[in-house]
Amino acid sequence: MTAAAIALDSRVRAALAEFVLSMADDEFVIGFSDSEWTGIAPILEEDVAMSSIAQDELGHARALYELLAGLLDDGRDADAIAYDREPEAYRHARLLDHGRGDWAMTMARRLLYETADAARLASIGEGSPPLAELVAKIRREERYHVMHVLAWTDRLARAGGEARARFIAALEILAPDAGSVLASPDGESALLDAGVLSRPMADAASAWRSEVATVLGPLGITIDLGQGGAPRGAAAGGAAEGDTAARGAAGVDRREPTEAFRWLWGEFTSVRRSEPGATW
Amino acid sequence: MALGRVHVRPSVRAGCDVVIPAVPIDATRRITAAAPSAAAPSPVRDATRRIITAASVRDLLRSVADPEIPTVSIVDLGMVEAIDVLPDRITIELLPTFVGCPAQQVIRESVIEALAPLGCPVAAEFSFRVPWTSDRITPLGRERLEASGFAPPAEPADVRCPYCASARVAMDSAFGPTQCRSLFYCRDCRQPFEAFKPV
Repeated sequence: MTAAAIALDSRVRAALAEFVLSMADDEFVIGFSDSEWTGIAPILEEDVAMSSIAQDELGHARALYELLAGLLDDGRDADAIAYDREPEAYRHARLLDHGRGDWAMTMARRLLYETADAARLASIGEGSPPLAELVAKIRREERYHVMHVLAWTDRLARAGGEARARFIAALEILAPDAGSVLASPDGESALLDAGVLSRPMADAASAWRSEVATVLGPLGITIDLGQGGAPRGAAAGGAAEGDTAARGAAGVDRREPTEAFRWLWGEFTSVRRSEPGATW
Repeated sequence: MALGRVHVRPSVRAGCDVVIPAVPIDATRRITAAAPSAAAPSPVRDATRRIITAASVRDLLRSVADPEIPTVSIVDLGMVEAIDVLPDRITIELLPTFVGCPAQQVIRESVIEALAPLGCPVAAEFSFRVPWTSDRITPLGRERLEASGFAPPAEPADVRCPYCASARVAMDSAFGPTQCRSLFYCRDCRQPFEAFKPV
């Protein structure tokens, strides 16, 4: 058993594994989805920016999957967890089940995701030192992602005309699913008791709603981000078969992955599936 | 944790100091800790019987560069957090500049290669125990960055052109060709340049 897995009781460990898996899947899916802009972004600087941001997110996902591999200790490595699951087993937020769409949609999704992710990262306590250490490092990098999307939010909203209209339309499509990033994880009370979380996700969600209103209000944009924690995304069965972490809230609040996610899954697993077990 | 190959070697005493194997130790493999023998703590020596210290290891690591910034060593970038010279191996704790830095594997291999002349097994691992920050770059590191055309990390308002030292610079994009760099343009010498991101 690894150092990450020792010293946590099984209930906390299962809840932590589930929580880390959902964070990792979020970063993995948005990273892969945003990397689709490489080569086709509206301007060269954005091509570089989106590629760099996507690389950061995939790096965060990798580090989180590695942490998870230590927690689960079931013989799977980060790549196996990241790539060897069926589309139904991914636990990313519903927000990320929407495809990248056009530039306005991508920026609207980034705005809602980055602000929610920042609220989530700010809710992680010292209860699991390996997670706390990784999060401390990740937060220093996410700062640049937030700056980037705030600049674009301002630019699109102030541009007026089609740019503003498309941006607002995208926000309205995404708003009902945005709270899913901050859904209360299974076993939240155990995570709070163990200090893995420093505040409930419901508190993080209210802080996030205020933050989004502070950004969009001055631009004359109001969106309804709902109340309470929205449910998460894809179907259950993510972590390991038979593991309590994987069963979690099995079936409840889950829904079928969207066509957009199934397509993305086909893309990001294609190399892995082409030669199973190969070392690249 | 990956296990290294087990090597048959003269069983005089555990410790790097006595190992002069017929077949050189495969230092590219990580080896798990073998229980040190009951020998009294004595200095660990390399294949030529010179005493190995953390400082001498650090000196050897000055030859290892980040492949994305070839003129600055990982020591001057502040990536070497800990060096432990143990009786049976040397462990190096490295800090990645960015979590997803793709150069990590190459850097780890370069560290092992740079220490191979010592004849001791080396375990080099990246860790997040301490977050790497741009403040960890040494004064020499900052000087060398500048000499290679990279502005050392500073808040955007404090960035100076590495070519002409002008303060009349503009950030073109916070994101550059690698995760750790931003794109700037000097309005005086009209030279685009890259600046390290402060993190």
